[in-house]
Amino acid sequence: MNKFEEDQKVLVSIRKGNELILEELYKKYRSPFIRWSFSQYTQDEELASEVYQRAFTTFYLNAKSGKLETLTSQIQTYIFGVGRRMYLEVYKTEAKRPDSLDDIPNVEANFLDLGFEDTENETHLKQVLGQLLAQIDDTCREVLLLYYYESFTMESIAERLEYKNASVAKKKKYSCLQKLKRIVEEKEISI
Amino acid sequence: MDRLEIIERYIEGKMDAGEQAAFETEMNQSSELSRDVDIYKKLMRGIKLAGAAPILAQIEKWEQEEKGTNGKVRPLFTGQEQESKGFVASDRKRIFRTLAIAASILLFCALVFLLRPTTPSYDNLYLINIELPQSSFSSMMSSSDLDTLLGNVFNEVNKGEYEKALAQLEDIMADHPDLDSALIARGYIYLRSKQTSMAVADFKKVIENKGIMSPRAEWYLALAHVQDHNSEEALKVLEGIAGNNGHEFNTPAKVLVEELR
Repeated sequence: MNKFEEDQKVLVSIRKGNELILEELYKKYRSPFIRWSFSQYTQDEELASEVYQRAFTTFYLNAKSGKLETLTSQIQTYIFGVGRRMYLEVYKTEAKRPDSLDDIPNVEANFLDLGFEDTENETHLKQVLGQLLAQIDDTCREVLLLYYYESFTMESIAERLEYKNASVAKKKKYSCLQKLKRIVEEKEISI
Repeated sequence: MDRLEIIERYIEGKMDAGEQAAFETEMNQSSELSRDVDIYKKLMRGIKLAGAAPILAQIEKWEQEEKGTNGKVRPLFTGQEQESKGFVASDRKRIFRTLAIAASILLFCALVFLLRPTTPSYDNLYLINIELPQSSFSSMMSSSDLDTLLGNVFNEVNKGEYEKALAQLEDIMADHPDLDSALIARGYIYLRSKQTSMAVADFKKVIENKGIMSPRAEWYLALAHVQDHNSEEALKVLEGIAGNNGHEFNTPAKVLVEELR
């Protein structure tokens, strides 16, 4: 089995929720990523470490949601590619030094809206929604998380939760959202 | 189209320019619509944040672990640990009675840590998360000739000197031929050195002894079969572990069973 095939197998395991493999991957690529960051973008270990966490999380979320279904590069290359885009975002310009890793692609990674900003509002919102989601039924919670967190399509949600079709699943999703809104309004919860 | 569906299309940026302009005009004229958009926007964002919270916390934990251990060599044990556990001369008899168990656990813990690869291959992914709890590790420390010998073995293994480690294990096993810790350590070195059949033989002996290291030997035996591409034998062992909820390797065994199937 070559490295590419191994990585594809790892991807499948992650999608199935194998946290042992996820942890091993995190630890495996961290040092190479930090070294690569030092050589290309920053000498700040804290920044490199933060970018790595975000890049890795993006990889995980895309793998879990199915956005990253088939690898066109090795997992390490994918994570570095996400990291590269993040650094470019940080500096807003092309890096001053040439990128020696020519095989790092400009991956399509939806990392900018993942919600890592540790602002007070975001932290508050995360806590409130954590509590609100605990107050609704399991099916509602699953539908909402599958769509808004895991980025499943309505077709996939319908298939997974055995709804007749995507339209039925979508109605369920809206009904669950309205339920959350009612709780917020009735209990006058500040979000 | 349902009102909420329209709101969602706006929030998700799925409207074309004309539709978006019309919707924003409507929002400006309706405080209720504007408020609803604000609430739903926050709800949708909050669900995403709440959903990501567990994995972000997990990643943060791994990051802290890496920061804490990266580039540092964790001591096997220290004098302070012994003192903190109240080890005094009067405990010596009890310590020596538990010597075999202590040696087993000590050796195993140290080997697992020292042999843990920094850049493992996919094959080695199955060798993670097998450390004993720290309490078991530190509460059974003792100093003895056997400990010293085992300490030398650890050092050689740490340097990648498997041959020297094996030679020292041979000395130890001349006096303690059935010592589970020595058997499992030797088997582990064989396993890492791809001498699978010899590893299998050692692990089977430990399992036959039915001692404290037996469950670990079962796990390693399964790994040896996996390494040997013998899925059938690996599955036999793993299914036994996976079917025993009290087995310390129950969870990883279930994962591995799924992988192999």
